[in-house]
Amino acid sequence: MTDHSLPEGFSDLEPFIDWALERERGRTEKREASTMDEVRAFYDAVFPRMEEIVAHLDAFPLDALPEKEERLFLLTLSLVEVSNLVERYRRREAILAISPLDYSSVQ
Amino acid sequence: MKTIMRNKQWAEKYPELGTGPVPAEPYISPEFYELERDRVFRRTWINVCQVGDIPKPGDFFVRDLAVCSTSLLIIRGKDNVIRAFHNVCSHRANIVVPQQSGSCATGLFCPFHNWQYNDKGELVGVPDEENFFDLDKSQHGLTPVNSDIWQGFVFVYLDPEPAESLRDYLGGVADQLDGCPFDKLALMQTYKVEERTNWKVALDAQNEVYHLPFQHSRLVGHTFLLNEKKHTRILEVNLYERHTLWSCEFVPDYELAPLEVLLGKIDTDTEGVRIPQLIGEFDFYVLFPNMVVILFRGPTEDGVVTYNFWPLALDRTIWEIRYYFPPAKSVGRRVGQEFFKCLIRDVQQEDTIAHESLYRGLLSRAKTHVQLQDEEITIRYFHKVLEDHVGFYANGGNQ
Repeated sequence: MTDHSLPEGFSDLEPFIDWALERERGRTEKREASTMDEVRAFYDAVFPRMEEIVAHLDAFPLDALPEKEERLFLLTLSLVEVSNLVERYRRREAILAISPLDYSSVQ
Repeated sequence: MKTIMRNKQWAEKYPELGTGPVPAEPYISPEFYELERDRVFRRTWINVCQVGDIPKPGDFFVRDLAVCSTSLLIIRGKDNVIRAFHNVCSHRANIVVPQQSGSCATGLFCPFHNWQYNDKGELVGVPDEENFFDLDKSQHGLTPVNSDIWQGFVFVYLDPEPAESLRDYLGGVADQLDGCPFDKLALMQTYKVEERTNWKVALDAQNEVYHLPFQHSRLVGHTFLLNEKKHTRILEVNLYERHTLWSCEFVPDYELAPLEVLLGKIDTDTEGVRIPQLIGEFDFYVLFPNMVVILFRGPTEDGVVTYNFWPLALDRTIWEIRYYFPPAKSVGRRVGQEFFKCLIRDVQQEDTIAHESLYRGLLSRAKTHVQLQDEEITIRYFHKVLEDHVGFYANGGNQ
């Protein structure tokens, strides 16, 4: 079974582990597939912990994060992924843009 | 803050350019597009990739250049020399390499009859060679294409006789960006989006900041310097022989979004690559015809974004966007880069809507000309340079 655990001290974020996605494409798809309430719940859970998370992760080399730390790191990238929607657009109806899924992304 | 807020200053700087409207026909004319294919894309230096796309000896990169009806193969030889070829087999002109990229360290094999080429494009193997008639392999390598490199960007010139060297072609832009630390940046991400638009509509839509407070009001409407009436004013405009620059400053105290405030706290890395060649804080170069190089000032480091607008047809364009950042060593820095990338990406997704919408409007022929204000002078100049190459109106146009 896949390990979904986060480092000690961050286990309260485990309900949001399905936002720990390796590729930007996956994070965009997750954002698009989530309701605004789900997006906000994720944002509200991770945002206040960001300083703590980054302080924890910076003890490790960025290119060799242990598995649990890697998942925690990916949550921070998903936070960035949703931040414009939550902070700037605030509601999906405010967006006049093509579907982000029409952007092919090569990482 | 160095920006001068005065109106109509760029027409004063470049009075010979005039201030009249610009014809809409070049955006939608099949005849104009046919001329562009020959007189622009085959007879200028075109950026096709970057050295980082082919990092190791034997690596190759394929660039489909639909506008010139060809596929190009760019190879870093085992001797570390970068060469470009038509990706076309000498046997019966099949496309040799169907992949986008890879390594030819063990040879390139045409999938049709297994003709083999080496890393220098030489024909080295022909199955059943004895059954051909006077086939001299040394005369049947891949067809070379002129190529050269500037600051890590690989350019090609399709016509066999380039009118000038790449360095001369880039002219004042190369002078300005000499020593720019492009080599300290690494490709972080590439986006491609196919748009139902003409390539110039997309390029022109990017080539001004007048639209930012309106079209991008929620994302970056108040990021670039505005005058007292809340309209953008650019810091500098340079019109080179063919290329252009506009440069902007950021609003010094613009209201940060919550995550931006947070980024200032979590990015504790004190080291960062700076680009001394920056004129303002956001320098936008159009390298005629279809490349854009953007240099931008970040809070703790600088970065580069490039665009290539690839015409597939008169009304179909691929917008390729690449982000280059110094490789991040800390999580805080990496999150900051992700933030910038996602912010601009979301802006670009708004832009794509506009590129397609503008094209629909132009197709209606309701407007024979488009109107440009002083801040849009680089668009005006682009169309002058384009006409100088194409000679559409000089020869009577298609009125």
